[in-house]
Amino acid sequence: MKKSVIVKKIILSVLFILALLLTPLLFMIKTPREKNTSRWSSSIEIKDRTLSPQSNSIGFNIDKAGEYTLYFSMIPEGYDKDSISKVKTPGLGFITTVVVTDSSENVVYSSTQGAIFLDTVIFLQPGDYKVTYYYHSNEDEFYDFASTYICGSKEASQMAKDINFASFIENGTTVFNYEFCCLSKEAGLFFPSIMLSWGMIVGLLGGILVAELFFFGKDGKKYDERQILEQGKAFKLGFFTMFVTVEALIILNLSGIATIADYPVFYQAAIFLGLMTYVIYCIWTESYFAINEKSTRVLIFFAFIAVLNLVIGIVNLIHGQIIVDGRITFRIMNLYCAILFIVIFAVLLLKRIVNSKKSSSDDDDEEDD
Amino acid sequence: MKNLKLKAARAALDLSQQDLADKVGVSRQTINAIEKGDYNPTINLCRAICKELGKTLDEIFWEE
Repeated sequence: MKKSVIVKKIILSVLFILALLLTPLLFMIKTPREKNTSRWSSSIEIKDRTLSPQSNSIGFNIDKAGEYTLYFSMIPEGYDKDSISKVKTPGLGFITTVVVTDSSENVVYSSTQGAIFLDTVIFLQPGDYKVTYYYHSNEDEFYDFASTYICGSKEASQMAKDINFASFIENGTTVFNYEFCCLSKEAGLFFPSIMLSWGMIVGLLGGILVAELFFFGKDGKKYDERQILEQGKAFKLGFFTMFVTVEALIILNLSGIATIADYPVFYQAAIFLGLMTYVIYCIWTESYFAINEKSTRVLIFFAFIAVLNLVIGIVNLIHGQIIVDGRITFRIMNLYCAILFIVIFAVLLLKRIVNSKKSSSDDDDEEDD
Repeated sequence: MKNLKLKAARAALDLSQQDLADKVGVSRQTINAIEKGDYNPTINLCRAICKELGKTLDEIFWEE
């Protein structure tokens, strides 16, 4: 083994160990802030046309100025958040108003609806706030409230008319579950946990290191002119595949279909498709392996990666981590990887079979390795 | 179009595709592609092949 190769391997190993040690430190510095400023959950009852309680409130604190997502949920028992938009306000028999006030009792946000399920983004300064749900069962109650807290008497009168209160449909006990939380913008971090981020980075670095040290970093590896030409064509094809897929995903996103999965799931799919196109084209044009490189070792390596990812993917699927609340999460990445490597493995095998058939039918004097 | 002259010249020297590929520093598949007419080599590779086979460029790569 050449001295330069040994030095290269030592440097790679040292870098890997450094990355391994430093990654947790990095995340210690950037520890994600508490996601929920406040989470509150309880219920109200309608009994004999009387609401109990008639209002509910909770305080929350903001210690850093910025945009925050306020999440309000007040859903009658038996409904879910997807069907709540179909519930008509008069059908509930009462109206709910959510008011967010600061420490000086100034209203910073309010919304009036029947059943509520909404996210809203507002800018908040540091300080103490209070969120209150008020329940109004008739026009007069609502008018008094709206003219005091939300707007002038003229607008409040019009609002009360517009709402068109119906009599209570429910005359027994109905439970409404309500929930409120205030999410800081930092809650939207791609990596929800340190361990997951650490695992992904270490896995990626480890994979590169193993591949470099034991499979691809061989001395004297080079491609000839035809292979480089074909790799260029493969790169172009892979790029356009990724480009078209990303465009298709943007259209899907705009049309609302893309909400079935998290964004990384879609964009990773585009990257994997581009990569798959590149590798398959290279394999098929005999430009994937360097001159005199044996494909058996790579075949074994790919099979190992495919099986490993397949097992992890299936375990995630069984534990319900891939589909959460009807949405596909980024934990599907392992299955993506498994599919990618299974396809590559299959193409490699197929190419071998095709080559061996060709060489036996032609008068070629060599078999493909 | 197949390059039968190359194949004949190689066979005359009792060289396999792999042997020739090793001598000129390319993959066996590239020699195979040239013989099948699937790939047009650069002038540098043509010269290297001709040198190894003891032929001129005209003898191997010129079409009659």
